[in-house]
Amino acid sequence: MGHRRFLPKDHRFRLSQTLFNGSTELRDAPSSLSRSDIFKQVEGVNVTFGKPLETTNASKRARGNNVDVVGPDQWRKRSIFFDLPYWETNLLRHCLDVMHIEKNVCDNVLYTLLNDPKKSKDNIKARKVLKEMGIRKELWAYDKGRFRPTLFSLLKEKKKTFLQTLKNVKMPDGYSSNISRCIDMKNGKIFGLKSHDCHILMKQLLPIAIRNVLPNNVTVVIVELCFFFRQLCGKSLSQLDLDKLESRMIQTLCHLEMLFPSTFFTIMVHLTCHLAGEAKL
Amino acid sequence: MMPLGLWGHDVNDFDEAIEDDDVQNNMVCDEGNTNFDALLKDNNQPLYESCTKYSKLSFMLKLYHIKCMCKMSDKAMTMILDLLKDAFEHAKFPNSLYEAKNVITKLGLNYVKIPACPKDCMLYWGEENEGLEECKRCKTSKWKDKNKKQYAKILRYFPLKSRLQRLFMCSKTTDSMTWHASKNNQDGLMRHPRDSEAWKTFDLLHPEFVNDPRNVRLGLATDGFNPFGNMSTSHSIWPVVLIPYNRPPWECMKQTSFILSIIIPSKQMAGNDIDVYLEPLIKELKELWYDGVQTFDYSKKEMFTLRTTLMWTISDFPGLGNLSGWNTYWSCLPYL
Repeated sequence: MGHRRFLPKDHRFRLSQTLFNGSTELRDAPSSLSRSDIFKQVEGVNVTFGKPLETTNASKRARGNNVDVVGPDQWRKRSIFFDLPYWETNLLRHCLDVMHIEKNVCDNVLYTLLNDPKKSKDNIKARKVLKEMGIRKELWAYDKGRFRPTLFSLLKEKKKTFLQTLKNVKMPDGYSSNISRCIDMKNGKIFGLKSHDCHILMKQLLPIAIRNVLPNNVTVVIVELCFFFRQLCGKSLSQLDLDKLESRMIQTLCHLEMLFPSTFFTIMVHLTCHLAGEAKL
Repeated sequence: MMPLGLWGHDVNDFDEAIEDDDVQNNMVCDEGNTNFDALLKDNNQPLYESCTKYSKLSFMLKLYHIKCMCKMSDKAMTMILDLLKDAFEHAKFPNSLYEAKNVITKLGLNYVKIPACPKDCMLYWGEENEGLEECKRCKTSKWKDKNKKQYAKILRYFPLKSRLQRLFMCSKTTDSMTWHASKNNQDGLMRHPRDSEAWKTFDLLHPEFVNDPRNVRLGLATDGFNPFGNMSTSHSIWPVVLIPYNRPPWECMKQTSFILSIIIPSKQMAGNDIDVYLEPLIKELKELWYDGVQTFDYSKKEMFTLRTTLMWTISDFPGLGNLSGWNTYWSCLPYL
């Protein structure tokens, strides 16, 4: 949530309350730390490495390093890479793994759409959160833990068409694994997707499969999301396109915020908005 | 653990190098000339009389390559060797697998075993720590079984220098190692990291490094996986892989051009303590940055000083937290 921060200052979404989390958003986008800032912050962190020595009441959570926090406590150590003389001035030090993010986003979208009881992000907890936030009254849970379907939940019939489309897909040799094998028509499930399958799904299949099964406004947003990944994974990128892509992605995320409950926005979904920026570097 | 088995290409690439006499004569061998002489002797011996195609050494390498590619067990290999020796009496096969392995290690692609503290506190490595018997911090013993000389935990480190040198000594790869500087990109699209801002900024800041396009730029990738397939057994190995970005995009992201650098074994993943295990690599990278290493360039037929830099690391998001030290559970920091 809260991707409106990244929008331009005068964007109309920033002032809208009901569509988003019930308040306006006036903050600026968070500024990124400059390199020497990081270096300074990290300087003070002293870490002793190793698993903690055995203590009597060592709980599992308390695992980790014995950090004497001096700088901001976001840092858990002074990375060993700072020993390299040129590391401080490098523009980009740690890259994000696109495939990994793509897989997580794909999982999020797919399971939420199919309303998988375990993996769906649109569950009773999500609805409770909505109630706490006091938004989207029509989606709140009833007393017995039941709730109304949302715009994006697939009805039985539609779900069948959706899965059937994926099931019938035939791929050229060596392009991807046999995705139709991962689809269980009987129970309406998708299982055993590898990260490359997710990549292909996001890139090519999902926009086609959801075309006629969802209301238009949902389809548009998801297709946009898929488009983003497709562009980003192209063989050649241009600087201008990436600028556009980044701002477009932030808008897409805002649209997603309007549709999906807040639990949908795990850190992986958030990372998508940094991907284009990072690809630029 | 078969290092060459995992990365079967190692044998293959070197094989090419061995066949070139030029390379051989100019090869720099750290371990002294005795090894090299032995190799040379093996290479000059034909497999059997009037054989022009294979020398003793090249045959052994090809055979070993097959073993690695097909994941043959040591036992099967020994049996095949026995059979071959029995059938062709005059040919010069290695007497045993052990002997063959000994010769192959001389090629300089072996790895170093570094004992580590099972609780990730420290490595028994470097001058002061090497002789220690127990961990400085948690006092855990270095040994699993002292009588059998079994270490409690072993880090396998694959020295980088010889692997980089080989890239230049081999006729097949030496040309592509200067690719990033040779063909300039015309249309402003990004196809290779060299077109990116980070690369260009680096160029500006370190002109003395950029002067020689042969200097290698590496990326570091790491992720944990469970080698035993069965996900219910908890085990997580973190291989650290280096990627030479000098080569064209269609080559540098192939499995054959990756350089395996460290294998971090563990039941639990090392997590934040991964720095301990990266120590040998960082030390070597530092040496390679300051001093460089003398290398023979096959394409120009000359010696030069090879220097190396690490451009960035690639990992998934939790891995990124481990490498950078930024606490990723709480929030995200763009462009770390």
